[in-house]
Amino acid sequence: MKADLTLDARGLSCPMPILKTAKKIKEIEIGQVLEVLGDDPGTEEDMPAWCGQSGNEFLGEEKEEDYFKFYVRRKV
Amino acid sequence: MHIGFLVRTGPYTSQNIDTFYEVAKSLLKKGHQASVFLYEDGVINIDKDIKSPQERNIKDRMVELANMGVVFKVCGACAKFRGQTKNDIVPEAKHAGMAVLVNIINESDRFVSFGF
Repeated sequence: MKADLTLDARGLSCPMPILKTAKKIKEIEIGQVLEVLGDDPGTEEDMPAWCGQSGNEFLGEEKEEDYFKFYVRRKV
Repeated sequence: MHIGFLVRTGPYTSQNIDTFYEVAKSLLKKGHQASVFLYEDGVINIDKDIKSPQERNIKDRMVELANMGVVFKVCGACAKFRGQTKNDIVPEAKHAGMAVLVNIINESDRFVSFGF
């Protein structure tokens, strides 16, 4: 999936992946896509939950060998 | 009603998880819903390798609740700090984080925390 900006949150523990996503997404325009790299065990459930709470769109995830790539479209 | 729970203590030391089990079971029998976020040592309660000779098996009790409809979320960071991976927990539970805990609290009519 193509992204407009990437946040590398690997090595960070909850809640930092979400907090950094909330901050980083403000650097892209509404409609653009942020890619978040994360390896915290809780982020797979947390990212779609945060998207629902914040009004952004969770586009999906891709599993790499030892981390995930999450894709979020800025909507607000 | 939907009741949310937080359990912060592990098995066979404090009896918080046993209280949660009895309360949740009673709630479900009355037609209510329950969700639980296992936090700090609470993540150990869902370890699939718990063995309890001649004693109640807490992991089996959690699976029983999950099969009755209780949603189990387990703090991923707390799990990591305790050497727990997703392969160590029963498939009925999922690692999650603060955003999911916030959802549980927001979606619950009441929220009960079992701590120290």
